[in-house]
Amino acid sequence: MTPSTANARLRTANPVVATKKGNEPLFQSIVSSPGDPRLSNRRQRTPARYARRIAMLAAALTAGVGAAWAATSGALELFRSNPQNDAAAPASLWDQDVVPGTVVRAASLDIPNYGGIEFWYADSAQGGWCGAIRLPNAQWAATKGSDASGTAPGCYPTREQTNGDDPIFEINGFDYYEVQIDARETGGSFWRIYYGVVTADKPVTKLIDKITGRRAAVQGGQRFVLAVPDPHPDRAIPLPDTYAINLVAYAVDGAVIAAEHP
Amino acid sequence: MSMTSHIDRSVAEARFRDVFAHLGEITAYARRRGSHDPDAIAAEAMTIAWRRLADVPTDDARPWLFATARNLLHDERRRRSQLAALADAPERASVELWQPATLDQEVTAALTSLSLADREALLLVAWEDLSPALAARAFGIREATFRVRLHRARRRFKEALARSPAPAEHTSSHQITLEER
Repeated sequence: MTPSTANARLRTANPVVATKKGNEPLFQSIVSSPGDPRLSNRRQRTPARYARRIAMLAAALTAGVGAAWAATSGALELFRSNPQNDAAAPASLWDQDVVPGTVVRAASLDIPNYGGIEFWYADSAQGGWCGAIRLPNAQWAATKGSDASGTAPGCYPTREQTNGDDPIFEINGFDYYEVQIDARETGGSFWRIYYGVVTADKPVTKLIDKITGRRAAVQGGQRFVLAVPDPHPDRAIPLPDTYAINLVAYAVDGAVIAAEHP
Repeated sequence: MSMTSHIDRSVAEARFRDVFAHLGEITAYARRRGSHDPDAIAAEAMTIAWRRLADVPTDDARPWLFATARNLLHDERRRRSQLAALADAPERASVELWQPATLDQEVTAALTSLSLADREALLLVAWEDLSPALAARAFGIREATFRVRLHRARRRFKEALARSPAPAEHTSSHQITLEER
């Protein structure tokens, strides 16, 4: 028996024919759940969701609350409003509450031809953490009206909490999100800003992106913000086995205490 | 986190629809591998793909989906094995180890004689219709390594088939389509 005969026989013995039959209810059910937290949390405006948002906005305006926090209020108000939650169910994983006394301006960076940005941090009562990037114009990145896009700010679950019994994240010591700043119109670059925490036993003294060599601003041996220029911001998602960044955190003795792609 | 993506949700949903188009193939994969509930395995694989969309390759999602479904199948077998052990059920061994079922008894016997890795290498190409390059991704190994494994698996399969005493007769009536379940 030749290999080709054997292979043909194997193919013929296939017991199940795959079909292209879709399952729209399943699709809708899946996409109505929280997606990849590394992606923007902005949801598609389906008619029902859009109508609900309009109603919520009207109610907010009626109550005199408005959306003033987006540009002027402090980090505590921002974290309390928890924009990333995006109407997640009460008491769900993404419905985390800021611990008021823990709000700090964790670190800041200067973006050339753009200005200074600040990483604000707080603990959450549910064990997660709150994070936001404040722009030079006092706006919060990735909120409505902001000129920086990316992950909406707020109080997030940790990677461990997100994983639960169904792991989707590698636990490698890093937990972070991203916003984007486009300073090209003012002679600058397109920047990807990574902010988050390192969960390691030892405090971090140095944190770098091994691909670009960029060094993060670190506060408290744990919280960091890193700016990485992207010369091709319109490119597609990186190919498999390629990475946008590769973070490594070091302790004071030079030991690696967290590595994203060891 | 292995990759970072920068697309908004509407783009994510559009992209996920492309991934979701493989639902039938993942269901068939789970069924071919003896899943107790192939629909649930496929739905779970798709849910994980949605939650990890930045990790799903844009050129062809199938290797990633098959690898995810394979992990879910392992979990399913482990759970059923644990349940069988708790009940002291005699089927425990058969739960732990997948026994292939095909339309040809001799092919089934030849596949059963192979290691799980050899069997999976053969079937990803023959039944799941992946190229060796894509099947290597599903295994998480280099293409060259996979090609060596595939070559050896094919040789072993051919030898096992050649040891069969008589020409094959198809022993099942017909292929199962997903609508027939």
